[in-house]
Amino acid sequence: MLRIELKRGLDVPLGARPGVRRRHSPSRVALLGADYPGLRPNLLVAEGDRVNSGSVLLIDRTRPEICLTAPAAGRVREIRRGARRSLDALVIDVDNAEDESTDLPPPPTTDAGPETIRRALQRGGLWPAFRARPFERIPDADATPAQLFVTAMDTHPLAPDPVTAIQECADAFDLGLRIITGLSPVTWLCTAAGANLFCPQLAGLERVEFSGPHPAGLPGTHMFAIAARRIEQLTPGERWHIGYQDVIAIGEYFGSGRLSGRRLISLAGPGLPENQLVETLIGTAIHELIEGSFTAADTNAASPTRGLRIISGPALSGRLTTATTAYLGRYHQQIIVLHAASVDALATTAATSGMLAVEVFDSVWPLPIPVAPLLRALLMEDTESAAELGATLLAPEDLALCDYVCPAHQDYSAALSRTLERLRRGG
Amino acid sequence: MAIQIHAPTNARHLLQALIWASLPAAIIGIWNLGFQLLRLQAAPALLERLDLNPDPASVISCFIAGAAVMAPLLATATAVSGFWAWAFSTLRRQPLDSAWLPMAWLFVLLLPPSTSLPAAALAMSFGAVVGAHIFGGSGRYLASPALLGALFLTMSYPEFVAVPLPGTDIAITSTWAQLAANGIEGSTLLPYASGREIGAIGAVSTFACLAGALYLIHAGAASWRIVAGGILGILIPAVFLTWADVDGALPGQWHLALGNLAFALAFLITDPGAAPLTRPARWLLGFTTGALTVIIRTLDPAHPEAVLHAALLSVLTVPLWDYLVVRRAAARMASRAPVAL
Repeated sequence: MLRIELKRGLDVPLGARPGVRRRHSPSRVALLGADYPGLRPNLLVAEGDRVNSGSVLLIDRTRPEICLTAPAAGRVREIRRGARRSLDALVIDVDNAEDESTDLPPPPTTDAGPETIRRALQRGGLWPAFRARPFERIPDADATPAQLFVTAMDTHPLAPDPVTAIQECADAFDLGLRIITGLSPVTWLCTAAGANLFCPQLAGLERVEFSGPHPAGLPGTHMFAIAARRIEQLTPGERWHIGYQDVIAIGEYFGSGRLSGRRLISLAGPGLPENQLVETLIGTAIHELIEGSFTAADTNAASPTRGLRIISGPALSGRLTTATTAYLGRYHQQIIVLHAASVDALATTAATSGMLAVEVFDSVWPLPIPVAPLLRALLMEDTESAAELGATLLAPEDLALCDYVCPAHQDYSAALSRTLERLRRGG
Repeated sequence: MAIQIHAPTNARHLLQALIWASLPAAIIGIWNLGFQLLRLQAAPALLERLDLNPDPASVISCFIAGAAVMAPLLATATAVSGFWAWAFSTLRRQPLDSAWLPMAWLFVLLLPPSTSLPAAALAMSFGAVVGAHIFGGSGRYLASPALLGALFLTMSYPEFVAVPLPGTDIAITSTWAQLAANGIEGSTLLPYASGREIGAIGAVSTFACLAGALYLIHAGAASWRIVAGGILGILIPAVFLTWADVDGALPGQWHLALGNLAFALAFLITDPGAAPLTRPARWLLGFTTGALTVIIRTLDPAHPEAVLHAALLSVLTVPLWDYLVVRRAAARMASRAPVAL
């Protein structure tokens, strides 16, 4: 087992990890286009159609093997289009969250060939759980990674403790690991130092423990840290990563033949009476979830979401939701609720000056890339320099701490998204 | 989607930190300016009108005498800097560059007390326009606008600077020039280091400047590597030149105590708008500033004060150091990146 201690980084103080736990069965779930940049959806359902858990909702026009499936049974309530016919949101009215019916074919046995397993993952809509770098996109249906990183830790402020979720579904997690290690020659199980997790003895699977402040839990950090220490294993090729809850979902599907769509998330932040751990569905509607966490005794119980800023995902890198996009993101394990007033007070100091070369960027940056030159290249849209410095191996979340500490309030992660998009198109 | 939360430190805090950090240096500078004026019996008319005793021992008299010289300069520089910031923000339809005030403040602290108001206005214009606004304002320029403005003044219009003190016919020679010509035998370091010297208004007290540097480092506005590199850059050549027994060689602490060197290390080259992007370049910027100053001061037969020239030269090399560091990192990335590119 490899242990890696990272010194640089920053744990943003937002409060304690949630302790209280509840279950929430949403009346509505949605699939959001913003979760899948680069995916060109070809919709297979229309408004009003009935769908079962596992029904294919859409396929990627350019890579038809890649599809997205319904996390729960219900009726398609709304398909909202964004700019240039892109998908904004596909909303499903869930009629019974406990519905056992499914459209999925039974999963292959775990000793089936890798090709069979791959097709089963793709048909089940579980393939988008993987994301490949460079460019942080859903991998091609036939691609093979050089290394696969299983992210079984979370250093974001207020994030749920992965150990809780994994221990509850230990069998599913174990089975999921067995399935996905077959896809990659090398798989790293990345956990927090001392995490009480069992790592099965599998060919090509190795556990690595990370300690240190955020971003010690991000897959980008893991990729660079391991590359710097295991130079002999530096084979060219894509690096894939997958989150622990998706590994559990894969294990559940191969174990029971059902897609549970389950997510254990934290609902937390200064805007809430208390921080909670909530068991709910992928894409759950956030407003009704939040309303459930206010009691009638709370002053603004009539419209509890008024005056709040709701972020799907981590406080640093999540998406600010609006009334029409208030659904849990595909890759998100937390919902952060802030007071709008406190956010607006900070927003008044918008970016007016260029980048200020202060030391703080270096002190929150654990990767072996000179950070300030990278940030400046991104701001200047100097894609060539950014690519030379390894920008293609980063995801916007890797730069979120730089956004947070930047005294000039520049938006480096958005600049990275634009740069990645341009580089991917070969510009 | 822009991030919704931010660290408590923003650009405005950094500018405020700069003002706070330079305040002790400014206060000591104003007092010292008055002290020197009264010592030379060049008391401004204001003292007489206020019926104050023009005695150098009186702190209040010194302070008011110094302020009487500095206030018009500060008002002029602030007005000019504010005008240019307003003009560029109006023409570019951008928000006002909030660095206009600290820019003028640092510029005035760097001025010799005998500077005439038109010269100050001209130099401030040069510093603000050529130093900052044509590059797009703060955070985008190459060198501190205050540094450029002050250097412009001493290089282009030495006759403006060398005029007698306002209201008198007394011409003053800076302490650096006196000591460089006569040697330091018989002088003690402490009064000069604490601020009792003739020089730029706000740059006389080395202790106050270094305290300001510590505050800026604590506030996250300045890099300790630049300051530490600067001190190393002073000490190493000074030791070497003294050891080689070069004519005019001074110990490092004398270099730091005299002239604008401590001020430049604390406030000019640490300017986050123009500071290096990489750690090695930060060390090098400080080191070259200190080393160039000592070398020019010692080896130039005229023994010029040299700090502003050295600082500008060093700041202009910063993009080169950063470029070299980035090239090395890119080469390493090409061979060791997680994905072979």
